[in-house]
Amino acid sequence: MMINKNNYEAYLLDYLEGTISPQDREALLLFFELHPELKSELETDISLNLNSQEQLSFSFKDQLLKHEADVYDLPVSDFLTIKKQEEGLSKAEETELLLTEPDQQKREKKSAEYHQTILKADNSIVYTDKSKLRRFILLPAFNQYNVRRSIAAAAVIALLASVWLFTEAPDNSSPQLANTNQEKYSGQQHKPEQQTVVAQSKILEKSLPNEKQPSKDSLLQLAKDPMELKSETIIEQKQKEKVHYLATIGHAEPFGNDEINAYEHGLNVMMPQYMDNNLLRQELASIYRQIEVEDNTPSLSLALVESGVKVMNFLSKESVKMQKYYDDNGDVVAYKVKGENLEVNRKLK
Amino acid sequence: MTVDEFNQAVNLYSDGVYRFVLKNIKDEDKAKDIIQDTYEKLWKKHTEVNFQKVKSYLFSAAYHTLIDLTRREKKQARWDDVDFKNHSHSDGYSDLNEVLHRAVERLPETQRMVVMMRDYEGYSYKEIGEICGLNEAQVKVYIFRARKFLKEYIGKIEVLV
Repeated sequence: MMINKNNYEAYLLDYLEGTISPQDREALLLFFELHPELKSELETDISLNLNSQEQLSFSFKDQLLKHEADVYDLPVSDFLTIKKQEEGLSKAEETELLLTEPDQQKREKKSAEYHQTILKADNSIVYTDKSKLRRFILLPAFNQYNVRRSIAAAAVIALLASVWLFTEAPDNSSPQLANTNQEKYSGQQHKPEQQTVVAQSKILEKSLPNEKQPSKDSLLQLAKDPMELKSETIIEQKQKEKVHYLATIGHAEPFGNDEINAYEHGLNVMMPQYMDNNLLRQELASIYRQIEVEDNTPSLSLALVESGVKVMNFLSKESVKMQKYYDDNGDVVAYKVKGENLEVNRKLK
Repeated sequence: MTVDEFNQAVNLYSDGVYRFVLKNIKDEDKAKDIIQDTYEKLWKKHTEVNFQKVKSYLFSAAYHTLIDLTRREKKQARWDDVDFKNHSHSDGYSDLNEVLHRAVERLPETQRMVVMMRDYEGYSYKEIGEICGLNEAQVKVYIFRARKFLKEYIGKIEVLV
C-alpha cells in the first residue's frame, strides 16, 4: 500500500509504538523525505496515558464523601465545636477539630461564642396557683354516693319533723269555747274554760237537721229572681235562735274585750252561711235553668252530633249520613247516623 | 400514678412547665391556662401514666398545646424578617441573657422549644424526641442549627452595638 497524506498517520502511530514492519518503516521514512513539512511528527510524544481506574474512582469518591456536619448544613469546625459543647468529642473528632481549626485562639473564641448560646432558666418564675392543681382523696366512707344518701335522709327527716311540729296545733274538730256576754251579765264568777262559748265551724253549720234542702221550684224561682234570696235569708235569720256560733277554724282564745259587738258577731255567724247557701243555690238554679231551656230548644247533643257529621263529611267526602225523626209537633225526637261500618240510633226524648 | 404522686408532680414540675410555656408565649394568663389544661389532661389519665414518665407527659402536653396556639396566632418571626437595625441599640440590651432570649424568640417554633427543653430541663435528645414526637437525629439537627442561629444573632447584635 502506498503511503500518502491521507493514511500516513496510521503508519506513524505504528512507528511510534514500535509495531511497524520493516517494509512499512522504509516506506514511511521515504514519505517523510518527500514531505519534509510533516517530518516533525516523527518526534511526537505518545507517552501520555489515561489514568488508571483506581485513581479515577478514588478522586470521584472523594468528592462524593460527606461529613456529618453536612447533615446540619454547618461548617465542620462549627459542627465539631457545637458537638463538643453538647455531648463531647471522641479522640478522632478532637484531632479533626485541631486539623480543621489549627489556630487555638480561634478555636477558643468560637467555643466561647457557642457557650453563650446556652439558655439559663429564670428560677424566679414560679407557678403560683399550685393549690388549684392539687387533688384530694375522699375517704371511702365519704364518697359521693354515701354523702348524697346521707343528705337525702337528713332532708326527709327534717321534712317529717317540720310536718310534725306544724301539726301540733290544738284539735279543731270539736267546737271551741269563746267569750260571751251572757255570763258577764249574770254576774257569776267563772272558771277560765267557762268564759268561752261554743263556736261552730262552717261544716257543722251546714249540717243542721232543721235546714231545708231547696226544692226545684224554689230554685227555678230563684233563678228568675235572684234578689229574692237576700230577703229570704234575712227572714230566716230573724227566725233563728240567738245562738252565738263563731265560724273560726283555729284555736279560739278568749277575747280580750268581754263585750261582743253585735255587728261582728252577726257577721261572723252569717257571712259563711250566707255565702255557702247563696253559692250552692245559685249553682243549682243555673243547672235547672239550663235543663228548662234545653227542654224548649233542640238538644245541645243533637247540635253537636250534627256539627260532627258535617265535619266528617267535609273530611271524608260525604261518607256519613244523618237522618232525623220528628213528632207531630215538628220536634226532633230521634236521629240515626250511618257511616261505613257504624250505625247509631239515638232517641232524644 | 396515685393522687399523691399527682400532687407531687404538681410540686415538682409545674414551675418548670410554666417557665417553658411562659417563655414561649409571653402571656401569663395564657400560660396559666395552658398549665391548668395540661394538669387536667394528666388528671384524666393519671391512672395510666407512670410517675417516672410524668415529666415527659407534662412537657409533651404543654408542647403540643403551645404548637397549636402559636400556629393559630402565627406570632413567630423568621430570621430573614428580622430587622437588625430596629432590634439593636435602640432597645438597649442590658445583658447577654436578654439578647439571647430575644434571639430565641426569633427561632422557628420547633427549634425554640427543643433548645429550651435541652437547656432549661437538661433533657437528652431521646427524651426531647419522645416529648416532641421527633426522632433523635431530628432533635440533634434542630439543636445544632439553633445554636448556629443564636451565635450568629448574638454576633451581629454585638457588631451593631
